Amino acid sequence: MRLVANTFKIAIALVCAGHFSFHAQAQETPSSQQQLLKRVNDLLNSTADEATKWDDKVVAARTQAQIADLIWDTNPDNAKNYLKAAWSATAKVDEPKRERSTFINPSLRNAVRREVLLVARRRAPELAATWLEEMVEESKSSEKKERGTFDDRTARSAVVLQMANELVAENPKAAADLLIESLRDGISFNFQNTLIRIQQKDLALAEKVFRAALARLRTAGMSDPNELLTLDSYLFSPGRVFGANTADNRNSVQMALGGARPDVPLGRQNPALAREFLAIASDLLLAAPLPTGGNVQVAARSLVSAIEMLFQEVNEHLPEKAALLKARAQQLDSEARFATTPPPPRPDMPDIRRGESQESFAERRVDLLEEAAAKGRDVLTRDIGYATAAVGTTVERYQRGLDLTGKIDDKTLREGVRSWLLYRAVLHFIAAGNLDEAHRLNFKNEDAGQRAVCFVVGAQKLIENKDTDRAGEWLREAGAIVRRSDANESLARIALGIVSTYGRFDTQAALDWLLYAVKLMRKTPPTSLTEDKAPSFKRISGITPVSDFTIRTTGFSLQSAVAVFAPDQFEQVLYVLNDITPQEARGVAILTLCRKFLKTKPKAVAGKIRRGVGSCQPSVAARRRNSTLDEAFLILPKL
Amino acid sequence: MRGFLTIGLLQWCVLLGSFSPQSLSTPSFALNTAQRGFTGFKVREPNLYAPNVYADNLEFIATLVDLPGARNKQSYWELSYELYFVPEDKYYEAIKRLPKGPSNPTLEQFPGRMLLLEGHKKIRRLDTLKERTLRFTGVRFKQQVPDPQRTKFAHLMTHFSVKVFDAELKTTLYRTGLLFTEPYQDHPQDPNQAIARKTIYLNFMVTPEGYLNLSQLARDPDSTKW
Repeated sequence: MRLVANTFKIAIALVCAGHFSFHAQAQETPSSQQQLLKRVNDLLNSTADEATKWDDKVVAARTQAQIADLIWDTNPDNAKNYLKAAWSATAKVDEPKRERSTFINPSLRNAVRREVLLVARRRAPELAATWLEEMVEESKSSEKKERGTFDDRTARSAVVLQMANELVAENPKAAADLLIESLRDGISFNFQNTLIRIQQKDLALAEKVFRAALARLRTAGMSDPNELLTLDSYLFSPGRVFGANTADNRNSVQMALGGARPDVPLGRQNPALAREFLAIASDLLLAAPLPTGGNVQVAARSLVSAIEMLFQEVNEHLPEKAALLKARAQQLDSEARFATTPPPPRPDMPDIRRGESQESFAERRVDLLEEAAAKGRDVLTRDIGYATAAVGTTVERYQRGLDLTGKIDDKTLREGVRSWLLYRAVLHFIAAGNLDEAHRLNFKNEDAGQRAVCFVVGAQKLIENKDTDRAGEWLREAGAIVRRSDANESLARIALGIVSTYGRFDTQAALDWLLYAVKLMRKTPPTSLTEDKAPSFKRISGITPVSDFTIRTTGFSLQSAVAVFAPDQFEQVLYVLNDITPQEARGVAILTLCRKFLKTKPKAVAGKIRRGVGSCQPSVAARRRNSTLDEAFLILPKL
Repeated sequence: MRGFLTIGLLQWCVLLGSFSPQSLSTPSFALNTAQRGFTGFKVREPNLYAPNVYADNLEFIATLVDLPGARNKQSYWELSYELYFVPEDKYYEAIKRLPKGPSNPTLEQFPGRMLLLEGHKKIRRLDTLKERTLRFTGVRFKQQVPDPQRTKFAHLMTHFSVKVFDAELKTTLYRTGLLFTEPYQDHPQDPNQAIARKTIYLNFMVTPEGYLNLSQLARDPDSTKW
């Protein structure tokens, strides 16, 4: 009966499709196009109005800001109101509850505000300026929270730098202006990240921004040595940023790895600029007073470690300053009181051997963890120990991880770790292009959801390789799993992944699957539906690492699914989307459909409704780039 | 972003509850300081013989304060627990050997520990707070500790391994670790006076987001608030 109903519904959708594509193709007169454009405009307005009532403020703010941008040229009054509503909604965004990190603390609210501010900056700069000031006031009145080593200086600088990072590809000049604006709050960690990207496009512009940072140091001094280390990294070791060391061990290192890397660092290209920086940095480190009432030891350690990190370059460029710095470091040593004995070995971390490969180190670490697990007094403790050892294996050594799971008595834990290891390994083999091995291994995974995701990601790779026949087979495998599983949050997203992947070569299958996905997403939180990476599957918690190996996967969001349909399928797709619940998800889907329509319709007509849309909406990839801006660095702990 | 080598955040250092201020300070101490505005500074007098702060018997109360799937019959809770006494000199020797900053110490790093209580429970009914509370009374303490080791700043160490399946979240949460507290607590009316600690708490809670909270602070036995 359900099958009959589904078939009937698809048939209606097809009739609609035929009807509207007939209109779109055979009778597409200027007036019918105008009517369709008016309909799109009405849909956008009603979606933005509804968004004020949505519970999910993250989705509401993003939707309203994007709609404001899309309709700004045709209806600026409405657009401005939607933009203001979006900003108000950001104030109601709750930060996820988690312990503050001593390294980095990304903010969800700031990420949403960045998106609203980007629209405001282009469409109503006066609003953007007001709102940025509002953030400063908010920071003053809110509870003071300790920053992590690699957090930006303030909420305002964090947002401004994220905006700069988003703009740099298309408008390096605007990004440079924002970087200079961020200097009002000091030199933030993410400053160097965007500056490197500006340098890759326009060296002179990057030098101008760097000089603005030097000017800031000259006039305002430094609030802590990390400001100097951020600039030092940009000049001499781009992509590798050190943090000041405040640990007992003098040789401890806090380092963030990642980001773009120019072929030749600016400090090597422009020795005069490097010298100028080193002179200012040396003067600041020589003159920096120790706090009188605060933690003198921490401040002294921070200064000593910064001197040690800059010393080599200073010695090369300004030997006379180097001598002074050496004396200053010796003087500060009595306050820093670094430990004189070597740190004891950690029970879960082997000693570091010079020249040893990462693989060998990881193996020895797993040896230690396995040994520790065997000493557990009870079964549950031993099981958790073996599970920790298994997930400590590298992806290439997944087989050792699987062998270790054999020692786990607890079935849930054993199977959870086993499928985690297989999921990670299969995605790794797909990314490496070893699809046969991925296919073979995928069948060993008993977690149906994870297996289905791997089939979808594998199909995407096969399409890249122009093997659509095999891609179709993999998608059919994924589809069969989805159809025989009970509905859940992950399943809806897998179905969306199937839609977006089919959409690249089989529109009809994509439409059929969209209809099915809509049914599955009824109980799925809207925020999850807008996540483009593959689901992580939280079957077990507290064992697997915080890093997420699905981060590089794409195509599993509602936006990716809706965006695959051509504009001439507008009404047909809209008919399916109207059935979506929750309402936030329907709004996001309709916005995506309307945007796609406006983007690809003949410019002559579309231009009337949305001049300047092309630069309004960041692509899914761009959104992912920015949402992970703070996470884009691999933070290494003190060793 | 083009050229990114690595996306994702990795923190090798494991923040362990056992060394958070919450778990290092004694339960009643934390409560009293909050209530009285007491500064919270304690001066350790090494090897201060204080048999009066050693209770004859201890009570050990482990509670799963709340979980989203409490009423779901498929939810369950499994706990392995061990309660040790660690003599003061051994405790501080071990602490000195630990690396500074976040750490994840193991039982083996505390030699000289003395087992007072151990056990394993699996609870399948989690509807009420009472059902989610494990209570062990009469854990012999003072007589177990050799008289010279009855010093004020020795420690009681709880080692636990916990597994909670929340049928609402469809997630199984695991955690293992150590918690420490001293054998004494502050007098409720006079924070300058030490009295024998009689109850050792071990509290867990599964949040709606699927995190496992952990503490050993004294708590209202009728409250499901964290």
